Amino acid sequence: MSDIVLEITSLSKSFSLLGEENIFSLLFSIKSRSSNNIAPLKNISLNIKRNEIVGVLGINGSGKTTLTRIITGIYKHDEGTIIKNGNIVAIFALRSGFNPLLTGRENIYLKGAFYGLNKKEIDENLNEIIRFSELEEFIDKPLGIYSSGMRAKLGFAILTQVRADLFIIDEALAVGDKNFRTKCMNYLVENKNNSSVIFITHFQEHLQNFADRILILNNGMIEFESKDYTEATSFYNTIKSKQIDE
Amino acid sequence: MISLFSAYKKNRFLIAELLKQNLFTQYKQSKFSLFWIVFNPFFQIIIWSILHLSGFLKIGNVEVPYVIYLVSGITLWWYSFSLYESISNIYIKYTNVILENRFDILVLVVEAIIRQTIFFMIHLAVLFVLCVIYKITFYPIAVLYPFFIVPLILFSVALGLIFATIRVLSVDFAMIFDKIFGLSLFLTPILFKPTFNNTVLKYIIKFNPLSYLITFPRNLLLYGKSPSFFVVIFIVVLSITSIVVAMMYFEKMKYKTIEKLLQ
Repeated sequence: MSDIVLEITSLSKSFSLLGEENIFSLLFSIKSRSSNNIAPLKNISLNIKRNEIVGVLGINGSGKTTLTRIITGIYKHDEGTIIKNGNIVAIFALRSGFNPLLTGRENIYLKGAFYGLNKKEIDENLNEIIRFSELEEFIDKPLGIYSSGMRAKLGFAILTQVRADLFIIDEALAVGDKNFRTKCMNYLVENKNNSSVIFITHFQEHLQNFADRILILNNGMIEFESKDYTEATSFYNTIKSKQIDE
Repeated sequence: MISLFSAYKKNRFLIAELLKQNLFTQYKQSKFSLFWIVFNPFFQIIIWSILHLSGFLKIGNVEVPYVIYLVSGITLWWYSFSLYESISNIYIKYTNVILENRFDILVLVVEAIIRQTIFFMIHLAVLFVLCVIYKITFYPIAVLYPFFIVPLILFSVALGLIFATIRVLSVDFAMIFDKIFGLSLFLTPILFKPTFNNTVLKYIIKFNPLSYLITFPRNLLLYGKSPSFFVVIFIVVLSITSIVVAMMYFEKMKYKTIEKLLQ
Protein backbone atom coordinates (compact mmCIF):
# COMPACT_ATOMS: atom_id res chain seq x y z
CA MET A 1 0.00 0.00 0.00
CA SER A 2 1.40 3.40 -1.03
CA ASP A 3 2.25 5.89 1.71
CA ILE A 4 0.77 8.66 -0.43
CA VAL A 5 -3.03 8.68 -0.56
CA LEU A 6 -3.31 11.58 -3.01
CA GLU A 7 -0.74 12.84 -5.48
CA ILE A 8 -1.48 15.94 -7.54
CA THR A 9 1.03 17.22 -10.10
CA SER A 10 0.84 20.51 -12.04
CA LEU A 11 -2.94 20.67 -11.91
CA SER A 12 -4.66 23.55 -13.69
CA LYS A 13 -8.27 24.38 -14.37
CA SER A 14 -9.98 27.19 -16.24
CA PHE A 15 -13.64 27.98 -16.84
CA SER A 16 -15.19 29.77 -19.77
CA LEU A 17 -18.06 31.97 -18.73
CA LEU A 18 -21.59 31.17 -19.87
CA GLY A 19 -22.56 33.79 -22.45
CA GLU A 20 -18.98 34.19 -23.69
CA GLU A 21 -19.14 31.16 -26.00
CA ASN A 22 -21.19 30.92 -29.16
CA ILE A 23 -24.14 28.54 -29.07
CA PHE A 24 -22.55 25.78 -31.19
CA SER A 25 -19.31 25.58 -29.25
CA LEU A 26 -21.40 25.59 -26.09
CA LEU A 27 -23.83 22.84 -27.09
CA PHE A 28 -21.27 20.60 -28.82
CA SER A 29 -18.36 21.18 -26.44
CA ILE A 30 -16.11 22.62 -29.14
CA LYS A 31 -13.13 24.57 -27.79
CA SER A 32 -13.94 28.24 -28.25
CA ARG A 33 -11.49 31.04 -28.90
CA SER A 34 -12.92 33.04 -26.04
CA SER A 35 -10.18 34.78 -24.12
CA ASN A 36 -12.46 35.55 -21.21
CA ASN A 37 -11.64 32.38 -19.33
CA ILE A 38 -11.10 32.44 -15.60
CA ALA A 39 -8.46 30.18 -14.09
CA PRO A 40 -9.33 29.24 -10.52
CA LEU A 41 -6.40 26.80 -10.26
CA LYS A 42 -2.90 27.21 -11.68
CA ASN A 43 -0.16 24.61 -11.51
CA ILE A 44 -1.10 22.98 -8.21
CA SER A 45 1.14 20.20 -6.92
CA LEU A 46 0.27 18.47 -3.69
CA ASN A 47 0.89 15.16 -1.90
CA ILE A 48 -1.20 13.88 1.01
CA LYS A 49 0.32 11.13 3.13
CA ARG A 50 -1.66 8.43 4.84
CA ASN A 51 -2.96 9.45 8.31
CA GLU A 52 -2.01 13.08 7.72
CA ILE A 53 -4.26 16.06 8.49
CA VAL A 54 -3.60 18.91 6.08
CA GLY A 55 -5.20 22.31 6.54
CA VAL A 56 -5.83 24.49 3.49
CA LEU A 57 -6.38 28.16 4.23
CA GLY A 58 -7.64 30.50 1.56
CA ILE A 59 -9.67 33.64 1.28
CA ASN A 60 -12.96 33.61 -0.65
CA GLY A 61 -12.36 33.00 -4.35
CA SER A 62 -8.91 31.47 -3.86
CA GLY A 63 -9.94 28.18 -5.55
CA LYS A 64 -10.60 26.01 -2.47
CA THR A 65 -13.95 24.58 -3.55
CA THR A 66 -12.85 24.09 -7.19
CA LEU A 67 -9.84 22.11 -5.91
CA THR A 68 -12.13 19.94 -3.77
CA ARG A 69 -14.52 19.33 -6.66
CA ILE A 70 -11.66 18.33 -8.97
CA ILE A 71 -10.12 15.95 -6.43
CA THR A 72 -13.52 14.39 -5.83
CA GLY A 73 -14.21 14.02 -9.56
CA ILE A 74 -17.17 16.42 -9.79
CA TYR A 75 -15.17 18.71 -12.14
CA LYS A 76 -12.64 17.60 -14.73
CA HIS A 77 -9.19 19.25 -14.70
CA ASP A 78 -7.60 20.71 -17.84
CA GLU A 79 -3.94 19.93 -17.17
CA GLY A 80 -1.87 17.88 -14.75
CA THR A 81 -2.36 14.51 -13.09
CA ILE A 82 -4.22 13.25 -10.05
CA ILE A 83 -3.33 9.86 -8.58
CA LYS A 84 -5.73 8.56 -5.92
CA ASN A 85 -4.62 5.62 -3.80
CA GLY A 86 -7.86 4.95 -2.00
CA ASN A 87 -11.42 6.04 -1.51
CA ILE A 88 -12.00 9.80 -1.22
CA VAL A 89 -15.09 11.36 0.36
CA ALA A 90 -15.67 15.12 0.26
CA ILE A 91 -17.94 17.03 2.56
CA PHE A 92 -18.78 20.50 1.34
CA ALA A 93 -21.45 21.75 3.66
CA LEU A 94 -22.70 19.29 6.21
CA ARG A 95 -26.19 20.64 5.70
CA SER A 96 -26.42 19.86 1.98
CA GLY A 97 -28.27 16.88 0.51
CA PHE A 98 -30.92 17.03 3.23
CA ASN A 99 -34.64 17.30 2.60
CA PRO A 100 -36.42 19.71 4.98
CA LEU A 101 -39.73 17.84 4.69
CA LEU A 102 -38.24 14.55 5.89
CA THR A 103 -37.46 13.85 9.56
CA GLY A 104 -33.91 13.76 10.89
CA ARG A 105 -34.09 9.95 10.96
CA GLU A 106 -35.27 9.77 7.32
CA ASN A 107 -32.53 12.20 6.30
CA ILE A 108 -29.89 9.94 7.86
CA TYR A 109 -30.86 7.30 5.30
CA LEU A 110 -30.94 9.79 2.42
CA LYS A 111 -27.60 11.46 3.19
CA GLY A 112 -26.04 8.10 4.10
CA ALA A 113 -27.04 6.79 0.66
CA PHE A 114 -25.23 9.73 -0.98
CA TYR A 115 -22.10 8.84 1.04
CA GLY A 116 -22.33 5.30 -0.35
CA LEU A 117 -23.63 3.60 2.79
CA ASN A 118 -26.19 0.83 2.32
CA LYS A 119 -29.35 0.24 4.35
CA LYS A 120 -27.81 -2.48 6.52
CA GLU A 121 -24.86 -0.26 7.47
CA ILE A 122 -27.16 2.60 8.40
CA ASP A 123 -29.55 0.34 10.33
CA GLU A 124 -26.63 -1.07 12.34
CA ASN A 125 -25.17 2.36 13.13
CA LEU A 126 -28.35 4.42 13.43
CA ASN A 127 -28.25 4.71 17.24
CA GLU A 128 -24.59 5.72 17.16
CA ILE A 129 -25.32 8.41 14.55
CA ILE A 130 -28.20 9.81 16.62
CA ARG A 131 -26.09 9.71 19.81
CA PHE A 132 -23.14 11.51 18.16
CA SER A 133 -25.47 14.18 16.72
CA GLU A 134 -26.87 14.96 20.22
CA LEU A 135 -30.29 15.32 18.55
CA GLU A 136 -32.19 12.48 20.23
CA GLU A 137 -35.17 14.71 21.05
CA PHE A 138 -35.52 16.07 17.53
CA ILE A 139 -34.63 13.06 15.40
CA ASP A 140 -38.25 12.31 14.43
CA LYS A 141 -39.12 15.95 13.75
CA PRO A 142 -38.98 17.40 10.20
CA LEU A 143 -35.58 18.83 9.34
CA GLY A 144 -37.26 22.10 8.38
CA ILE A 145 -37.43 23.05 12.05
CA TYR A 146 -33.69 22.37 12.67
CA SER A 147 -31.25 25.26 12.97
CA SER A 148 -28.23 25.32 10.63
CA GLY A 149 -26.06 24.16 13.55
CA MET A 150 -28.36 21.19 14.21
CA ARG A 151 -28.21 20.19 10.55
CA ALA A 152 -24.42 20.38 10.63
CA LYS A 153 -24.41 18.14 13.70
CA LEU A 154 -26.54 15.57 11.94
CA GLY A 155 -24.36 15.79 8.83
CA PHE A 156 -21.14 15.15 10.74
CA ALA A 157 -22.72 12.35 12.78
CA ILE A 158 -23.57 10.51 9.54
CA LEU A 159 -20.03 11.08 8.33
CA THR A 160 -18.61 9.26 11.36
CA GLN A 161 -19.96 6.02 9.87
CA VAL A 162 -18.41 6.56 6.43
CA ARG A 163 -15.16 4.75 5.70
CA ALA A 164 -12.66 6.55 3.45
CA ASP A 165 -8.91 6.80 2.98
CA LEU A 166 -9.17 10.56 2.58
CA PHE A 167 -11.82 12.96 3.83
CA ILE A 168 -11.94 16.44 2.34
CA ILE A 169 -13.87 18.80 4.59
CA ASP A 170 -14.61 22.04 2.78
CA GLU A 171 -15.91 24.75 5.12
CA ALA A 172 -18.16 22.08 6.56
CA LEU A 173 -17.67 23.03 10.20
CA ALA A 174 -18.14 26.75 9.67
CA VAL A 175 -21.55 26.61 11.35
CA GLY A 176 -22.63 25.10 14.64
CA ASP A 177 -21.50 25.68 18.20
CA LYS A 178 -17.86 25.69 19.27
CA ASN A 179 -18.23 22.65 21.53
CA PHE A 180 -19.58 20.51 18.75
CA ARG A 181 -16.83 21.73 16.40
CA THR A 182 -14.23 20.68 18.99
CA LYS A 183 -15.96 17.31 19.31
CA CYS A 184 -15.75 16.85 15.52
CA MET A 185 -12.08 17.90 15.40
CA ASN A 186 -11.26 15.49 18.23
CA TYR A 187 -13.07 12.75 16.40
CA LEU A 188 -10.97 13.38 13.27
CA VAL A 189 -7.71 13.40 15.26
CA GLU A 190 -8.63 10.23 17.18
CA ASN A 191 -9.51 8.43 13.96
CA LYS A 192 -6.40 9.65 12.17
CA ASN A 193 -4.99 6.12 12.03
CA ASN A 194 -7.78 5.18 9.67
CA SER A 195 -7.95 8.15 7.33
CA SER A 196 -6.20 11.27 6.07
CA VAL A 197 -8.00 14.60 6.16
CA ILE A 198 -7.79 17.76 4.05
CA PHE A 199 -9.49 20.47 6.08
CA ILE A 200 -10.34 23.47 3.93
CA THR A 201 -11.39 26.70 5.59
CA HIS A 202 -10.96 30.43 5.67
CA PHE A 203 -11.08 30.48 9.48
CA GLN A 204 -7.45 30.03 10.58
CA GLU A 205 -8.37 29.30 14.22
CA HIS A 206 -10.05 26.06 13.08
CA LEU A 207 -6.62 24.65 12.28
CA GLN A 208 -4.84 25.42 15.58
CA ASN A 209 -3.57 22.27 17.33
CA PHE A 210 -5.22 20.24 14.62
CA ALA A 211 -3.40 20.26 11.27
CA ASP A 212 -0.06 18.51 10.72
CA ARG A 213 0.66 20.86 7.82
CA ILE A 214 -0.97 24.05 6.52
CA LEU A 215 -1.10 25.18 2.89
CA ILE A 216 -2.08 28.69 1.85
CA LEU A 217 -4.08 28.83 -1.38
CA ASN A 218 -4.22 32.22 -3.07
CA ASN A 219 -5.25 33.18 -6.61
CA GLY A 220 -5.47 29.50 -7.54
CA MET A 221 -1.90 28.70 -6.47
CA ILE A 222 -0.33 27.18 -3.36
CA GLU A 223 1.69 30.19 -2.24
CA PHE A 224 2.96 28.93 1.10
CA GLU A 225 3.33 25.71 3.05
CA SER A 226 4.39 25.17 6.64
CA LYS A 227 4.10 22.75 9.54
CA ASP A 228 4.17 25.70 11.90
CA TYR A 229 0.74 27.17 12.69
CA THR A 230 2.06 30.64 13.65
CA GLU A 231 4.19 30.92 10.51
CA ALA A 232 1.35 29.82 8.24
CA THR A 233 -1.27 32.06 9.79
CA SER A 234 1.08 35.02 9.72
CA PHE A 235 1.44 34.58 5.93
CA TYR A 236 -2.31 34.11 5.61
CA ASN A 237 -3.00 37.31 7.55
CA THR A 238 -0.72 39.22 5.17
CA ILE A 239 -2.80 38.00 2.22
CA LYS A 240 -6.03 38.90 4.02
CA SER A 241 -4.77 42.43 4.80
CA LYS A 242 -3.71 42.90 1.16
CA GLN A 243 -7.21 41.90 0.06
CA ILE A 244 -8.78 44.41 2.47
CA ASP A 245 -6.44 47.16 1.19
CA GLU A 246 -7.36 46.42 -2.43
CA MET B 1 -29.11 1.54 -21.83
CA ILE B 2 -26.36 -0.57 -20.31
CA SER B 3 -25.16 2.51 -18.38
CA LEU B 4 -28.69 3.03 -17.02
CA PHE B 5 -28.97 -0.60 -15.87
CA SER B 6 -25.50 -0.43 -14.40
CA ALA B 7 -26.37 2.79 -12.51
CA TYR B 8 -29.48 1.03 -11.16
CA LYS B 9 -27.58 -2.08 -10.11
CA LYS B 10 -24.80 -0.19 -8.32
CA ASN B 11 -27.00 2.39 -6.61
CA ARG B 12 -30.24 0.63 -5.69
CA PHE B 13 -30.34 2.01 -2.15
CA LEU B 14 -29.69 5.61 -3.22
CA ILE B 15 -32.35 5.30 -5.95
CA ALA B 16 -34.84 3.88 -3.43
CA GLU B 17 -34.15 6.75 -1.01
CA LEU B 18 -34.54 9.38 -3.75
CA LEU B 19 -37.72 7.70 -4.92
CA LYS B 20 -39.12 7.67 -1.40
CA GLN B 21 -38.16 11.32 -0.98
CA ASN B 22 -39.78 12.39 -4.25
CA LEU B 23 -42.93 10.28 -3.94
CA PHE B 24 -43.72 11.03 -0.32
CA THR B 25 -42.57 14.61 0.05
CA GLN B 26 -44.32 15.77 -3.13
CA TYR B 27 -47.70 15.19 -1.54
CA LYS B 28 -46.68 14.91 2.12
CA GLN B 29 -48.75 17.88 3.19
CA SER B 30 -51.81 16.72 1.22
CA LYS B 31 -54.58 14.52 2.61
CA PHE B 32 -55.54 13.30 -0.88
CA SER B 33 -52.13 12.51 -2.33
CA LEU B 34 -53.22 9.56 -4.51
CA PHE B 35 -56.16 11.58 -5.79
CA TRP B 36 -53.84 14.37 -7.02
CA ILE B 37 -51.53 11.88 -8.76
CA VAL B 38 -54.51 10.49 -10.67
CA PHE B 39 -56.34 13.77 -11.10
CA ASN B 40 -53.62 15.89 -12.73
CA PRO B 41 -53.65 14.22 -16.17
CA PHE B 42 -57.35 13.40 -15.90
CA PHE B 43 -58.17 17.07 -15.62
CA GLN B 44 -57.29 17.18 -19.34
CA ILE B 45 -59.68 14.29 -19.95
CA ILE B 46 -62.53 16.17 -18.31
CA ILE B 47 -61.88 19.24 -20.51
CA TRP B 48 -61.72 17.22 -23.74
CA SER B 49 -64.75 15.14 -22.83
CA ILE B 50 -66.75 18.35 -22.25
CA LEU B 51 -65.59 19.72 -25.62
CA HIS B 52 -66.54 16.44 -27.28
CA LEU B 53 -69.97 16.35 -25.65
CA SER B 54 -70.62 19.99 -26.60
CA GLY B 55 -69.94 19.16 -30.25
CA PHE B 56 -66.93 21.49 -30.56
CA LEU B 57 -64.52 18.66 -31.24
CA LYS B 58 -64.73 16.54 -34.39
CA ILE B 59 -63.04 13.35 -33.31
CA GLY B 60 -63.68 11.16 -36.35
CA ASN B 61 -64.73 7.53 -36.12
CA VAL B 62 -62.72 6.11 -33.22
CA GLU B 63 -64.68 2.80 -33.04
CA VAL B 64 -64.62 2.73 -29.21
CA PRO B 65 -66.25 5.05 -26.62
CA TYR B 66 -64.48 8.43 -26.85
CA VAL B 67 -63.36 8.41 -23.22
CA ILE B 68 -61.53 5.10 -23.77
CA TYR B 69 -59.86 6.43 -26.93
CA LEU B 70 -58.87 9.60 -25.10
CA VAL B 71 -57.59 7.98 -21.90
CA SER B 72 -55.59 5.32 -23.73
CA GLY B 73 -53.84 8.01 -25.78
CA ILE B 74 -53.45 10.72 -23.18
CA THR B 75 -52.02 8.27 -20.64
CA LEU B 76 -49.22 7.43 -23.06
CA TRP B 77 -48.62 11.07 -24.02
CA TRP B 78 -48.58 12.13 -20.37
CA TYR B 79 -46.08 9.37 -19.56
CA SER B 80 -43.83 10.48 -22.42
CA PHE B 81 -44.08 14.16 -21.45
CA SER B 82 -43.46 13.42 -17.75
CA LEU B 83 -40.38 11.35 -18.55
CA TYR B 84 -39.04 14.17 -20.73
CA GLU B 85 -39.86 16.87 -18.20
CA SER B 86 -38.47 15.15 -15.10
CA ILE B 87 -35.26 13.94 -16.79
CA SER B 88 -34.61 17.24 -18.55
CA ASN B 89 -34.82 19.03 -15.19
CA ILE B 90 -32.39 16.85 -13.21
CA TYR B 91 -29.47 19.30 -13.31
CA ILE B 92 -31.66 22.22 -12.25
CA LYS B 93 -33.57 20.34 -9.55
CA TYR B 94 -30.49 18.73 -8.03
CA THR B 95 -27.88 21.50 -8.54
CA ASN B 96 -26.65 21.52 -4.92
CA VAL B 97 -26.73 17.76 -4.60
CA ILE B 98 -24.68 17.35 -7.81
CA LEU B 99 -22.11 19.98 -6.82
CA GLU B 100 -21.65 18.59 -3.31
CA ASN B 101 -21.81 14.83 -3.70
CA ARG B 102 -19.79 12.48 -5.87
CA PHE B 103 -22.24 10.02 -7.42
CA ASP B 104 -23.33 8.78 -10.82
CA ILE B 105 -25.76 11.37 -12.23
CA LEU B 106 -27.51 8.59 -14.16
CA VAL B 107 -28.93 7.61 -10.75
CA LEU B 108 -31.19 10.68 -11.02
CA VAL B 109 -32.29 9.61 -14.51
CA VAL B 110 -33.11 6.07 -13.34
CA GLU B 111 -35.04 7.43 -10.35
CA ALA B 112 -37.08 9.71 -12.65
CA ILE B 113 -37.87 6.78 -14.99
CA ILE B 114 -39.04 4.58 -12.10
CA ARG B 115 -41.09 7.40 -10.52
CA GLN B 116 -42.87 8.29 -13.76
CA THR B 117 -43.47 4.61 -14.49
CA ILE B 118 -45.21 4.25 -11.12
CA PHE B 119 -47.51 7.18 -12.02
CA PHE B 120 -48.08 5.62 -15.46
CA MET B 121 -49.12 2.32 -13.84
CA ILE B 122 -51.67 4.20 -11.71
CA HIS B 123 -53.07 5.90 -14.84
CA LEU B 124 -53.10 2.56 -16.65
CA ALA B 125 -55.08 1.01 -13.78
CA VAL B 126 -57.69 3.75 -14.22
CA LEU B 127 -57.82 2.98 -17.95
CA PHE B 128 -58.46 -0.70 -17.23
CA VAL B 129 -61.25 0.19 -14.80
CA LEU B 130 -62.84 2.33 -17.53
CA CYS B 131 -62.49 -0.54 -20.02
CA VAL B 132 -64.30 -2.83 -17.59
CA ILE B 133 -67.06 -0.23 -17.11
CA TYR B 134 -67.47 0.17 -20.89
CA LYS B 135 -67.21 -3.63 -21.40
CA ILE B 136 -64.21 -3.33 -23.75
CA THR B 137 -62.65 -6.69 -24.50
CA PHE B 138 -58.98 -6.88 -25.36
CA TYR B 139 -57.44 -8.87 -28.22
CA PRO B 140 -54.90 -11.56 -27.23
CA ILE B 141 -52.09 -9.56 -28.84
CA ALA B 142 -52.68 -6.87 -26.16
CA VAL B 143 -50.52 -8.93 -23.76
CA LEU B 144 -47.56 -7.55 -25.71
CA TYR B 145 -48.54 -3.98 -24.72
CA PRO B 146 -45.70 -3.56 -22.16
CA PHE B 147 -43.13 -4.40 -24.85
CA PHE B 148 -44.74 -2.07 -27.37
CA ILE B 149 -44.40 0.97 -25.11
CA VAL B 150 -40.62 0.44 -24.79
CA PRO B 151 -39.85 2.52 -27.92
CA LEU B 152 -41.90 5.41 -26.50
CA ILE B 153 -39.98 5.17 -23.20
CA LEU B 154 -36.60 5.13 -24.97
CA PHE B 155 -37.49 8.08 -27.18
CA SER B 156 -38.82 10.16 -24.24
CA VAL B 157 -35.79 9.36 -22.08
CA ALA B 158 -33.54 10.31 -25.00
CA LEU B 159 -35.23 13.71 -25.34
CA GLY B 160 -34.97 14.19 -21.58
CA LEU B 161 -31.23 13.42 -21.57
CA ILE B 162 -30.49 15.78 -24.45
CA PHE B 163 -32.54 18.62 -23.00
CA ALA B 164 -31.14 18.12 -19.49
CA THR B 165 -27.87 19.46 -20.88
CA ILE B 166 -29.47 22.07 -23.13
CA ARG B 167 -31.58 23.41 -20.23
CA VAL B 168 -28.35 24.37 -18.42
CA LEU B 169 -26.36 25.60 -21.42
CA SER B 170 -29.11 27.38 -23.33
CA VAL B 171 -32.32 27.69 -21.37
CA ASP B 172 -34.17 29.40 -24.25
CA PHE B 173 -33.77 26.36 -26.52
CA ALA B 174 -35.13 24.12 -23.77
CA MET B 175 -38.10 26.40 -23.13
CA ILE B 176 -38.96 26.49 -26.83
CA PHE B 177 -38.86 22.70 -26.92
CA ASP B 178 -41.06 22.49 -23.78
CA LYS B 179 -43.71 24.46 -25.67
CA ILE B 180 -43.33 22.29 -28.79
CA PHE B 181 -43.72 19.13 -26.69
CA GLY B 182 -46.80 20.63 -25.02
CA LEU B 183 -48.20 21.46 -28.45
CA SER B 184 -47.63 17.87 -29.59
CA LEU B 185 -50.70 16.88 -27.57
CA PHE B 186 -52.74 18.54 -30.32
CA LEU B 187 -50.53 17.37 -33.17
CA THR B 188 -50.60 13.69 -32.34
CA PRO B 189 -53.70 11.51 -32.83
CA ILE B 190 -54.58 11.52 -29.13
CA LEU B 191 -57.64 13.75 -28.81
CA PHE B 192 -59.05 12.98 -32.25
CA LYS B 193 -58.52 10.77 -35.28
CA PRO B 194 -56.73 12.84 -37.95
CA THR B 195 -59.26 12.77 -40.74
CA PHE B 196 -59.09 16.48 -41.64
CA ASN B 197 -58.10 17.92 -45.02
CA ASN B 198 -55.54 20.55 -43.99
CA THR B 199 -52.32 19.53 -45.78
CA VAL B 200 -49.94 21.24 -43.33
CA LEU B 201 -51.49 19.52 -40.32
CA LYS B 202 -51.48 16.22 -42.19
CA TYR B 203 -47.74 16.55 -42.81
CA ILE B 204 -46.99 17.56 -39.22
CA ILE B 205 -48.84 14.54 -37.91
CA LYS B 206 -47.18 12.32 -40.51
CA PHE B 207 -43.68 13.42 -39.53
CA ASN B 208 -44.33 13.62 -35.79
CA PRO B 209 -42.63 10.55 -34.27
CA LEU B 210 -45.09 10.55 -31.36
CA SER B 211 -47.87 9.77 -33.83
CA TYR B 212 -46.30 6.34 -34.35
CA LEU B 213 -44.89 5.80 -30.88
CA ILE B 214 -48.29 6.45 -29.25
CA THR B 215 -50.71 4.99 -31.81
CA PHE B 216 -48.62 1.82 -32.08
CA PRO B 217 -49.31 0.53 -28.53
CA ARG B 218 -52.79 2.09 -28.37
CA ASN B 219 -54.03 0.49 -31.58
CA LEU B 220 -52.70 -2.79 -30.35
CA LEU B 221 -54.55 -2.47 -27.06
CA LEU B 222 -57.89 -1.15 -28.37
CA TYR B 223 -58.16 -2.62 -31.86
CA GLY B 224 -55.72 -5.54 -31.79
CA LYS B 225 -54.02 -3.98 -34.85
CA SER B 226 -50.29 -4.13 -35.30
CA PRO B 227 -48.69 -1.60 -37.67
CA SER B 228 -47.01 -2.43 -40.94
CA PHE B 229 -43.55 -3.97 -40.96
CA PHE B 230 -41.98 -0.70 -42.13
CA VAL B 231 -43.58 1.27 -39.29
CA VAL B 232 -42.26 -1.26 -36.77
CA ILE B 233 -38.76 -0.99 -38.25
CA PHE B 234 -39.01 2.82 -38.18
CA ILE B 235 -40.10 2.81 -34.52
CA VAL B 236 -37.34 0.40 -33.45
CA VAL B 237 -34.60 2.25 -35.35
CA LEU B 238 -35.81 5.65 -34.15
CA SER B 239 -35.95 4.67 -30.48
CA ILE B 240 -32.61 2.83 -30.40
CA THR B 241 -30.79 5.52 -32.37
CA SER B 242 -32.22 8.31 -30.23
CA ILE B 243 -31.25 6.69 -26.92
CA VAL B 244 -27.72 5.86 -28.14
CA VAL B 245 -27.14 9.40 -29.44
CA ALA B 246 -28.68 10.93 -26.29
CA MET B 247 -26.54 8.82 -23.94
CA MET B 248 -23.39 9.73 -25.85
CA TYR B 249 -24.28 13.43 -25.81
CA PHE B 250 -25.20 13.36 -22.11
CA GLU B 251 -21.92 11.65 -21.15
CA LYS B 252 -19.81 13.89 -23.40
CA MET B 253 -21.36 17.07 -22.02
CA LYS B 254 -21.63 15.97 -18.36
CA TYR B 255 -18.62 17.82 -16.94
CA LYS B 256 -19.18 20.94 -19.01
CA THR B 257 -22.82 21.05 -17.87
CA ILE B 258 -21.91 20.65 -14.20
CA GLU B 259 -19.37 23.46 -14.47
CA LYS B 260 -22.05 25.79 -15.81
CA LEU B 261 -24.59 25.01 -13.09
CA LEU B 262 -23.69 27.96 -10.89
CA GLN B 263 -23.13 30.47 -13.69
